Amino acid sequence: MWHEVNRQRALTAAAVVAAVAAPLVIVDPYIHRLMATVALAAVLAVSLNLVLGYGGLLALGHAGFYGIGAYTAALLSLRLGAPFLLTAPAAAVGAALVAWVVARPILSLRGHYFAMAMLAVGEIVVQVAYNWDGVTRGASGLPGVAPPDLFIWTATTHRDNYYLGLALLGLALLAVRRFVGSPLGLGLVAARDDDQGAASVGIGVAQTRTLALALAAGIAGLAGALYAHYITFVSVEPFQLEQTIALLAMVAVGGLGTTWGPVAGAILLTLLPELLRGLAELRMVVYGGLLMLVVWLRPQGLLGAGGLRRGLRVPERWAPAPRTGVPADPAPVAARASTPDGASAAASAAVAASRVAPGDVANRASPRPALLTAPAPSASADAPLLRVEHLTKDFAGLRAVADVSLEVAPGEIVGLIGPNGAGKSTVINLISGAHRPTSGRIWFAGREITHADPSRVARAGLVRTFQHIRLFPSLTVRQNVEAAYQVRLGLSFGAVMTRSRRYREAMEQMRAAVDEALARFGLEGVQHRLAGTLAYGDQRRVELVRALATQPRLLLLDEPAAGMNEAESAELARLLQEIRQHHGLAILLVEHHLDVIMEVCERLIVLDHGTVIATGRPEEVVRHPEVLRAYLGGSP
Amino acid sequence: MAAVTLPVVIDQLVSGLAIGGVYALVALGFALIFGVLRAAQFAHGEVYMVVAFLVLGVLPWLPWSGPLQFLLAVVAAAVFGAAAGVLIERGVFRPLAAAPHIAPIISTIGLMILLQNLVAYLKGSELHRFALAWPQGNVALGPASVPALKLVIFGTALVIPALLQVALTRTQLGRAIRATAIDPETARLMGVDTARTSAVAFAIGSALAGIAGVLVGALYGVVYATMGVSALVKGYTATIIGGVGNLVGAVVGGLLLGVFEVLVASYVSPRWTDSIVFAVLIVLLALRPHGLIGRAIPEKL
Repeated sequence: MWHEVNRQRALTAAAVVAAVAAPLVIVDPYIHRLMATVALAAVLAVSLNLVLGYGGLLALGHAGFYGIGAYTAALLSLRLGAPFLLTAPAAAVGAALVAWVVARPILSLRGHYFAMAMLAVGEIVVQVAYNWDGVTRGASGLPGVAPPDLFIWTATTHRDNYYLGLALLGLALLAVRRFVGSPLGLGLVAARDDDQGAASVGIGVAQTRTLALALAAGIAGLAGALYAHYITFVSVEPFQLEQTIALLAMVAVGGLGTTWGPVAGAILLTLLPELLRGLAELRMVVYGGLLMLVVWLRPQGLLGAGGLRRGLRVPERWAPAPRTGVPADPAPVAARASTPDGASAAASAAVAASRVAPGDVANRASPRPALLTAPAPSASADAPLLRVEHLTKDFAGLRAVADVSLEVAPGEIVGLIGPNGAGKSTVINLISGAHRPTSGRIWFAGREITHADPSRVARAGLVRTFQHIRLFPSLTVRQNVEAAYQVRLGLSFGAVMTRSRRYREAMEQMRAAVDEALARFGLEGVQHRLAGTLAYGDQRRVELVRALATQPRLLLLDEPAAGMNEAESAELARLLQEIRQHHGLAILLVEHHLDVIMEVCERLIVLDHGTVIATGRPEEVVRHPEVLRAYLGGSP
Repeated sequence: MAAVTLPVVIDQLVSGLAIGGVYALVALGFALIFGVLRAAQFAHGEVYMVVAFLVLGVLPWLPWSGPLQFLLAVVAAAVFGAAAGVLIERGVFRPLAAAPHIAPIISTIGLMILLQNLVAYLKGSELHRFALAWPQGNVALGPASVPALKLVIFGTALVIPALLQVALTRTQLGRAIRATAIDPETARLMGVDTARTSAVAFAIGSALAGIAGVLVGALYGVVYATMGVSALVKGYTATIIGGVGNLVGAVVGGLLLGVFEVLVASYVSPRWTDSIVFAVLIVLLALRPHGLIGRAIPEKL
């Protein structure tokens, strides 16, 4: 591991030295021009990789943001005589702003609907540039942009511009790495793996994607500004769909979701046509064929890791915390002594207690580590935590849930049972915001959440698990938990990009809290394994820990014992009781395993054909004639 | 700007339905391939282009003129298209079946570049005249007199999807294709030979693209090496308007797109047509995230 890190560092250093020294050794301006072109392509590919590789979003309009940057810079330079140092940031901000404004309404789109919307954005940019004669001079383009002027030095030669491109590439790599290596990046990848799962733990899927898209667009805009000042002429050709398609190929050929893959792809696919110049008109034919060949030989990309079917991997950024010494933080010392089972993890866990989610100030007095602490019950302790009134859901003529009303008190464990097709999962889906009710209302902790989206419901403290496990398979166990935990940190984009003090403290807090939680649930041994590779029972546990990491006040568990054998479900029952004891949270449990239900639930609600047919203490409910009839059939 | 009189409007509508019919066929083929293979075929437009050139090449050898020549050109297009489809499915998609999702997409991008440049190399990148002997002249349609060609194209674009619909619902193979599109895993468990259905779906989808290529050649009177790019964009757009996975939607989406384009070009601005179409599309997607016709299917959680 340590050797691997050093080897990579050495390779990176060698690459940087070679990139800087090469144009000094080779003096051919034609080569310098090629290198500058490669550098610009690499910047674009690196930025596209953020949305395409890490975000999993087919951004078919990326060249459009490049174009916005180029035109912004060219117009500012020509109209106002602004120098490169002013036009470049303006171009970045302009492109990022357009991405931001356009992205918000369309980022909830999925798959090809998003790709189409982005393609439309790119096409509009091209059309506007082509047709708005008065400003862009249409097809004839904008000549006479000043060369890049950095006040003390002006880039005049191809070599100068290559160095500028190289600096920009360094900046782009750094920005993308910081974003991806941060909790925001975890959220981005989590949403790529499973957007419903991400929303269920409170990750703002659209917000995170908007940030990533705006950052990528900003970098592309910066590249556009350099292009405009370097070539000193801007017209519409380099910003068309064909450019986006070429960038897609660079990212995929190099390796989606890898740091250096897009750079490798940009080098290869920019130089390839040049190397094939001897073939004259046939060169693009051969180029197309070679592109197919490369994909056939290495479908995961040149630098893509893993076998064919492997998902994308985000490298672990946080090695396990050094266990020597508690990080200096005065607040949590008091917490330490009173940790319930004063276990080995108390020291690091204590750090976590010092910072609690914003809005949970009342909880500060709690003696427990943050991850395992439920927020203190609200002032009106006897008021129900969850209240559902007259909930109804129709699916294309089928009434799945009909006029269901129920309540869950703080700290209560309620079982929701009923025969198959009774509407249990639908009720969970309605409460958690995954489905919209046809009618009826839902309140949680005094606030109405009837039409809130799932991530908002989760951030309010109502978190669900799924009947079919929805972990983030390309993240490790640890990262799965961190992706959920980071939501409450509420880190800003600025903090992430600057690695501010607050950011570093938050990382310490997260590391400690997650360490503690993993240890508590016996997952520390598998914490660096990809979540998708664990045994079923372990995946269930990870899903529970991930849900708990959001610090919920109410857990909705949808058949957590599904597919478990007797021993496993007994273990689960024990786990649920422990969670409840130590966390003091409420649980609404959908389950078929009657032994689990009888063991942990204080109250049962029985659904049949979408309506509540009985409610009460478990031992009463199971003898209720309506319930027996629903389960066993028979005449009324 | 065109006048708003009934004959003019009828003329515009017919023009819109003709080009919309071409979009519809491209979209239907794209949607069929996408449905079964779950991957975007970026070289779909190049199939349309290559087939148009192939048919242009065999046109002088067709012994008839008149309706039979038109019919033969369409049949030839379908055959060439289907052959191209099988080749692409075998050569590009099947070897990458186990690869990451992006791999076949990138491979079809390579194919797109290859075919475009190969045709440009062999035939030159200029416009090539493409003319069918039939249908010629105009026919009266109410107060308007419209080119017969446009009506025939529109008609073809209605008849072929209708035939396909019958084939998909009434035949064993059609049901197998639909089953594979809904859930390949389960289809396989139920004994569907999904490798074969993929190849068939690819053949049919590419045949549709080929037919569209011939129709658009006849409609505009020219074919050229880069004509596939805009076909891909329009077909993709129509697929999205109709809702991914919705074959009827793809046809309706194509026709709507064609009519809308012609109306905007005539009554708003020919120059800004594309911008307006795409802007409307973005707004539409924001309001109806599953296409104009597509319906959100609640996900099973």
